[in-house]
Amino acid sequence: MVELISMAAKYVLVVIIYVFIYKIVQLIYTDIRMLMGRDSVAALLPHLKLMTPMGTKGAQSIAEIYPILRPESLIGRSKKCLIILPDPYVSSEHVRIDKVGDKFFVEDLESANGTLLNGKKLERRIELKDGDKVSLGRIDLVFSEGGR
Amino acid sequence: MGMKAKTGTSLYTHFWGPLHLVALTILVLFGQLTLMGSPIDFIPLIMGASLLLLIYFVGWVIRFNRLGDPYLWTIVAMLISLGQAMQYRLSPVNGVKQFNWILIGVLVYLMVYVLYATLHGRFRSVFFHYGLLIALFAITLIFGTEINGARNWLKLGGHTFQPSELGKIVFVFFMAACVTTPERLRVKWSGREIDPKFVMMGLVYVLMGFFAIQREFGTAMLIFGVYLTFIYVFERDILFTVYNLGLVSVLGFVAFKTVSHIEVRVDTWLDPWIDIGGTGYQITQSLFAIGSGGFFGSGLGMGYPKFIPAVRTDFIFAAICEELGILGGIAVIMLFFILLYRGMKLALRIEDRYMKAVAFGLTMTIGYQTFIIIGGVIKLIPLTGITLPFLSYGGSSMVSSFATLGLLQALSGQILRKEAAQLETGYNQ
Repeated sequence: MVELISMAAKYVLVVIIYVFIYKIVQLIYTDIRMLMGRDSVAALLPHLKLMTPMGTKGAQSIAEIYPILRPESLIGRSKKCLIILPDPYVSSEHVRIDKVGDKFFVEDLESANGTLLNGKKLERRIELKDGDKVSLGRIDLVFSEGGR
Repeated sequence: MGMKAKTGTSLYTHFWGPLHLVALTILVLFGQLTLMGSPIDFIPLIMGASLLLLIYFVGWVIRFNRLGDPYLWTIVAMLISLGQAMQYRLSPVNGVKQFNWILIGVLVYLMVYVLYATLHGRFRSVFFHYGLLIALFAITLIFGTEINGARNWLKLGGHTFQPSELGKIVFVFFMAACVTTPERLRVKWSGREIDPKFVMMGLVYVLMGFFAIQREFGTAMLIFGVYLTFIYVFERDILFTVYNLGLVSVLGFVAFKTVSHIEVRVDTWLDPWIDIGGTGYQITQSLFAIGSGGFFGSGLGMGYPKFIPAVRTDFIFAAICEELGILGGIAVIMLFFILLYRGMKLALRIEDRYMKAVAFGLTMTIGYQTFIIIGGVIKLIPLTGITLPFLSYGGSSMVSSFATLGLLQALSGQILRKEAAQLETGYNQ
C-alpha cells in the first residue's frame, strides 16, 4: 500500500514542482515586460498604468506609468489635472484619486460619460485595490500598489 | 485571469498561487513520510503542518508589510520543503534538529532584514570587514575544535558553529568596499605608490591562504570565484582577471603536488573506479545513487541513499536524485537558477554602487556554492566539502543561507523603495 502511494506520489511531485517553476518563470516574464515599460523606477511606488490596446484579442500593453504621490490627483482633459488625457469622451475634470495614508480612493467627479471600475459604473467613493481597472471614455487605467 | 496577467499588475498580485503549490508539495512529501512509519509516524505530520503554517505566515509578513521581492521567499520555501522532507527521511532524529535550524534560520532572515534595512548606510570600510575576517580566523585558530580533520569549528554551549560560513558573507562586504572605494587601499611602498587593485589582490590571497590552512579548500575556491567575478565585473582591466586566473592555476598546481589531501581528491575525481572500496567509495556511491534513480526516482523512502557517506550534508543532492529522480534534481538546479536570476535583477536595479556590489556578491556566493557542491557530487569537478544552501544538514549553513537571503530581501525591499522615492522627488522638484 505504502509502496503504491510512494509510486504515485513521485510522479505527482515532479509535476507539482515543474508547474511551480513554470509559474515563477511566467511571473518573471511578466516582470521583464514590465521592466521594459518606461519608468521602471516609478513602478516601485503606487501608480496608475495607462493601457493601450495591442493586437486584436483585447490584449493590452503599458503605455505610461503615473506614480501617485500627492494626497489628491485629478485626472481629466484640463491642464490642471495631474494626468491629462486628451480624449473627447473624457470630461475636463473626470475623476479624482485620494491618497489617505496607505489607502487610495477613487471618486467620479460627475463626469459627462461616467467612469467604470472593473467594468461596473462608479457611483460612490471606492477604495482602489491592486489590479483594479479604471475606465474613462475609451481609456483604461490600471491601479498598482507598486512594490518593486 | 488571463487578462490580468497580460496587463501586468504589481508583483504581489499573483503571489499566493506559487505558494499554494509549495503547500501541495509539503502535503505530498510529509503525507508520504507519515504513512511510511509503522505504526503511523505522527512527527512528520506535525512537522509538515508547522512548515505549512511557517511558509504561509512568512509569506503573509512579506505581502502585508511589502518587504520587497516576494519570489525570494517562495523559491526558498520550495527548497526547504524538499530539503526538510529529505532530511527527515534520511534520519528522523537529525530531521527534527534540522527543523529547529530552519525555524532559527527564518528568525535570522527576518532579523537581518530589519537590521540591514536600518544599518545599510554604515559599516562600509574596507578595513572594518577585513579586520572582522581576520578576527574570525584568529578566534577559530585559538578556540577552534577539530571535526573530520579540519580545525574550523567553534563550540558554543552544546552546539558547534563554522565561522567560515559567516566569513563568506563578510567577504562579500569586503569585496564590495574594495571595488567601490579603491582609493582607501592606496599604499606607498619605498616611495612608489602601489595600484589599489594589487593591494586588494594581496589581501584576498592572504585570506585564501588562511582558508587553506584550515583545510577549507571548498570555501577558498568559493571566495576565489566571487573575487574573480568581482574583478571581472568592476575592474576595467580584463588582463588583470587573466593574470589572477593564471596565478591561481599555478598555486593550485603547487597545492596539488604538495598537499596529499588535494592530490587524493583530484585523483579520485579523474578516476574513482580504481579504488572503489577506499578513496573512491563516496563519489562512486553517489554516482550509483544518481544512476539508480532514473528519470522519476525510486520514490521517497524507496531508495538506498544511506550508502553514501556524508549524504545528509555534502551529498544531499545525490539523495534527492535517487529518490526524486533526475527530474527532481534538475528541478532543484532550476530553483537555484531562478533564485540567482532574482538576485541579479536586484543588483541591476539598485543605484548605490556599494549595495549593488553587495547584492551581486551575495548572489554569486549562492551561485558558486551550488555549482561547487553539485559539480562535485556529479563528478563534474573535484569534490570539496561545502554545503548546498538551504538543503544540506547543519545549523551554520542554514543560518548563513538565511542571513544571505535576509540581506537580499532587505535590499529589494525598504532600501530599493527608498531609493526610488528619492529619485521620484528629484524628478518633480
